[in-house]
Amino acid sequence: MRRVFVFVLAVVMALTPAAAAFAQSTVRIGAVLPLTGSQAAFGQASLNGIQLAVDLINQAGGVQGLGGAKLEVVVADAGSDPTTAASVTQRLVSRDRVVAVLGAFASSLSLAASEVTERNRVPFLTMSFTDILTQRGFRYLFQVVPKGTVIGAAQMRYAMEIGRAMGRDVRRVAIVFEDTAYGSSQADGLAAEARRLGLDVVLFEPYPAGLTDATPVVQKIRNARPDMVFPVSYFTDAVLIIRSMRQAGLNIPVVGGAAGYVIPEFYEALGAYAEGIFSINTSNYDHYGELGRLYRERHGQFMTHEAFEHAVLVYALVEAMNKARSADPARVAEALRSLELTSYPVSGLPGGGIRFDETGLNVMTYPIMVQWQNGELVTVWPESEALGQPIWPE
Amino acid sequence: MVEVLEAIVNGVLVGGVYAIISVGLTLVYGIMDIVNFAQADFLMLGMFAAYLCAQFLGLDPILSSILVFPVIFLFGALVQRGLVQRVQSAPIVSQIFLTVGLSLVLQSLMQMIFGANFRSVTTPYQTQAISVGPLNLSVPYVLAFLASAVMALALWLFLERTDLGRCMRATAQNRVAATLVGIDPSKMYVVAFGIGTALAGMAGAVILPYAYVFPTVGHQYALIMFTVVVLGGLGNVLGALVGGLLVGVIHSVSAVFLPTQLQNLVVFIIFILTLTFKPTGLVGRRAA
Repeated sequence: MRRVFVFVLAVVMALTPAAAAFAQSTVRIGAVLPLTGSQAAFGQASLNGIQLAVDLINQAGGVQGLGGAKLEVVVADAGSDPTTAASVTQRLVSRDRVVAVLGAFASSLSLAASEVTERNRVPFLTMSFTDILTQRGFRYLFQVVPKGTVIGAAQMRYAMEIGRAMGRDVRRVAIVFEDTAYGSSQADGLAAEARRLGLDVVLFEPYPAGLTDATPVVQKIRNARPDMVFPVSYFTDAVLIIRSMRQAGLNIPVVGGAAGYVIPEFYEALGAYAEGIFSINTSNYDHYGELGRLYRERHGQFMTHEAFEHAVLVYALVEAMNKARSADPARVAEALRSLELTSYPVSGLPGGGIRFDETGLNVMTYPIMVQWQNGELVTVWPESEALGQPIWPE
Repeated sequence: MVEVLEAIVNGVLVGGVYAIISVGLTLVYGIMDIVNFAQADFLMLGMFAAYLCAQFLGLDPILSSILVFPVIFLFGALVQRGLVQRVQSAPIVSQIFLTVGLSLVLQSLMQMIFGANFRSVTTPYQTQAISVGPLNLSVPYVLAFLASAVMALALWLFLERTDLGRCMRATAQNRVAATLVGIDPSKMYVVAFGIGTALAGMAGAVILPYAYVFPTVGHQYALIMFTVVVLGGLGNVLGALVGGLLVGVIHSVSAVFLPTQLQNLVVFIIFILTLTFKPTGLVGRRAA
């Protein structure tokens, strides 16, 4: 009798971990981001957004469609170099067997990383801008924000609309941009829209991405005598340009191109000199609701657009896994292609949600214009999204 | 026209810093016959030292350059005694390998300690400019130039008026003869290397108000530095000073007429032309 009892006990004990394993599996998500180098601030913010989303989803019971499986983020540092981005993505895909890869913030890095994921038929979810991402005929590429040229065009158009609404005459525009995929893409959009609106593009100047001295660029701006300046920069170059402009006594209104112009570090570096600067953006924290508040509590600074958009991508990925009832990358990609998601927190995106077209572009969303007012970024245009009034800088 | 004038003046201001870094390189070569490929990384060390002074002591970087000099001098002297001295009589290939390896080690070490992120300091005069007639000059540039001028003057006084300075010049002129009159060459080497690297460190400190510091910041300056030294003649201190100002002006003026991306191209073309047609440099004969 005792032997039977011990035998049954042994069997039960042997089975329990297995039962626990069935209920408690994990799903790995890959994140390839620039965590070192000049883009580190953006990479870290993006990762913070991903981690916050993952923690919230896990707390709420994990991925329901996979029996409550918990999400686990596998992080890879893409540095500042597309070659590195590609090689670490390869590792994520082959060694870590992630269900999807999120990243890589910088367009140049995303282009490289997504080539790897496409080859391996793993979904790549991104908030990078460059048009090239969705022009390659990829089936596994999902971009949650509008294209660079569309963002650039909106940057120009909204600025003109704001000017008109405030009775300002803007004829001469200067466009300066960092010369990688991101800056070039957006600058093309800016220039095309300016020509379409009949404006005079008095300066169209690319500058090296790792700019350490903005004086030559700003001198060119000054000599061109524009009514408005449209710079497209990452962080260090943005700060250098604005500082140099102030030094040269240039108080021309500035409409930034997102990236460096809409992060807390920009305001920290420039203080009062950042006040009144406009920027185009793909989403803003005055629309993020509770998620934005939680992020601010956790990290002590406002949730940047890249942090939010990466968080939103996590939610989209989970929704796709729920629909597909699978963690197989190909099935998840198929679910993403037919996904329509407008629930919170994805509703914080301008336009209210996500729906990817056949090129992988989210066609539901559009850019918005924000402005630094009293140390905070306020959405000021278009009127349907505005939560504050634009102020024309004097 | 005003733009060109302003570009020239800016070029002189920035060139002052280029001059100081290059003087350190040329001094070491003149006295020790060694090309220090890690020179630009001592600039990086000086920048980090000034950054730390600003963070923890609240010191303005230009003022902290006075502290940075002895710190980098000591470190440079240690590096010379411990590492460079060993290849003093070795084939030139070994010397090159050593200083290039040193450069890589310094960059990697700083990356391990500080990470690869770009850091900068905030100073009250960062966004200020002074008007001189029609010209608008950035205050950080002007201060960096003035500091460089002071350093150059101090160096000249040291080399001309002090015994140690004269001993160093003697060693540069003729090592054997200097030994014969009782000068200890190994002591000269330590001092020369220390001063050479400390000058780069100080230059790093004074450019911090307008530049970002990160472990590989030396790269951009390395290329300019070698151009200056070649233009001025290897070993020629005056040549390095003049060359620095010249390269600064060329760099600055070319940005007015060419796309910003091609700024460095003109400098390198001049570099190649000088090496081809006047390899001993524009200033010619070798002087300490």
